[in-house]
Amino acid sequence: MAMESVQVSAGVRLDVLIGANSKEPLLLKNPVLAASGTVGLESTGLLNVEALGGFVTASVTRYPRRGNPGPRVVETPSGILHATGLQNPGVHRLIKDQSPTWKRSTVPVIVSIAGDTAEDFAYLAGEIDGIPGLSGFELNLPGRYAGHGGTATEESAFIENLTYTVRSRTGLPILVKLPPDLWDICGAAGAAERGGADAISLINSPTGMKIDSWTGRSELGAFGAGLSGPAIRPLALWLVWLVSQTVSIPVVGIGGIASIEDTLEFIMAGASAVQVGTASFVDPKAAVEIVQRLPVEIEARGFHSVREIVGLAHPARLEADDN
Amino acid sequence: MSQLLVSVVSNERVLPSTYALTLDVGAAARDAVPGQVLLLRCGRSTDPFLRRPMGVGKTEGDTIEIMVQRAGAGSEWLIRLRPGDEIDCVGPVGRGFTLDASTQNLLLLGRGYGIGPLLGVAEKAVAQQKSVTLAVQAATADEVLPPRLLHPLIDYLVATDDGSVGYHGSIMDRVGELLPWADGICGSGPLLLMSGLASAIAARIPKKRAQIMIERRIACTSGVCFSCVVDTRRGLRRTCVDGPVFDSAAILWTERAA
Repeated sequence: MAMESVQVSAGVRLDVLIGANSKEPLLLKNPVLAASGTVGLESTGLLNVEALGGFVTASVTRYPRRGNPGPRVVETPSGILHATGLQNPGVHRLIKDQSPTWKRSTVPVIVSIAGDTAEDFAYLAGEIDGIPGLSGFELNLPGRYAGHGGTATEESAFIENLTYTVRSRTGLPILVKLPPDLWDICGAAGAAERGGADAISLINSPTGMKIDSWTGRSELGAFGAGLSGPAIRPLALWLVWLVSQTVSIPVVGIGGIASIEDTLEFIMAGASAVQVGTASFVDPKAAVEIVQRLPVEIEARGFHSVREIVGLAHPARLEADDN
Repeated sequence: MSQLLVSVVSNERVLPSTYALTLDVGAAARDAVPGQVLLLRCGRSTDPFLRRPMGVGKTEGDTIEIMVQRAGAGSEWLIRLRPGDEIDCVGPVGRGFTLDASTQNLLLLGRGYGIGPLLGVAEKAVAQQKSVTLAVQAATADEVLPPRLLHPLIDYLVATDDGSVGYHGSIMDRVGELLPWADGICGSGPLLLMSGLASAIAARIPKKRAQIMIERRIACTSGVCFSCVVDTRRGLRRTCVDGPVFDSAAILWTERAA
């Protein structure tokens, strides 16, 4: 494949490991994943999904969810607000209809699971674990309005317990995806690590809104909506930098990543891998182009692997490099 | 479905704020069906951010015509395109209008840029020796598409809100009379007009159906993200893969955005 020859000819190693201590570690051939609900095997006509490090499915819940009424997406400066309300057919229909396609995927499939309680997540992990072609779980935590997280302490306790409960149901890598609008994101990340997470996906969409100034109503079918796209990139980058210095498990950077430069910034901020999301809506080839450019751009900066530049921008690393 | 760099053949103003943009999309045009959509990237920056969905209209050889109404940043960019300019295009995606072999009398109803896809259906139908009536509603005479843009064998029925040309008032009065004649009905235009068509059919000829094109903001274009859904009797369906053309009896017209 052309992709392989580029990687080899540049002599740059792109592989990264998620879940080094888990029962079934996940070796990604490159650090570029498609973010949850943006690209799937059905997107093959638009991009070469097999060139990616893997992809995260749209979130699935225990029971079918109808999702929010429309409109579900509006544009914002350099991004979108999206409020699909987790429309999905429920885990049993997913297992019956969609999971058989996973084993055909030549790249890792990470299933995003969502729910309101730790029991929901445990149930989902238990039902899905062991399906051929499955490589890991990403936990899409309940929103802060779901009736928990009254204080930073309670929030962390909830996340630790939730992760631990899922851990008890699967040996596959668990990625805990955190939104930025938590009480204490470093505390939450530490709690996920203690609960047995293998990686922190950072960041989930912060909540935003848009109001029609003539009617006073939300322009979306819900009040709050997930903000994504380049609009959130600097915020995400900062949190990746911050959190990756407080946990010892890998961080997967997410937030408006659209180019090779964005990707390198996130890796240098401390991300071991990245997810490309909204950028795929604008340019379906964005993620694949990043993969293609990575070896050349890493080599141009005087390095030979992705792993070498993870956290290059951390003060401890900068200090060590100066000496 | 694919992503292509396509070139502009022509960009002609056909109504005061509406342009007929003809794109050379190569071989992709040959399988394109009126009512499918092209997703056009409007510029290179992040504003406007998302691609704009544009209904496939007339097709000829390697070209597809779309109708663009000036409405915001995306359309402003599109109407400024000149012959030879290149544009990033994904598509055609979705299910367009279908023409049954048994259809003999085709009734088309539209308004504004929604007429674009109907012209594509009309030309295909005329080529198959079907009788075609195109009924349009417009605000004023200025907003009525010039007959020279239509195939001469298309019956053209016009109503204007102010009576400055054609029938004075609602085109639905005339459409109602034509419903028993029609054995194929397609609609594309504002939701109010389309829901009117659906309820007229349900009331007068409940066994018949119209194919109605629904416009939605589309994000992923491959059915993954569930942004572009339409409320139907079979649940929330995705415009980009299940539509954008839906059965009039299937659409639930109660939703605020539907």
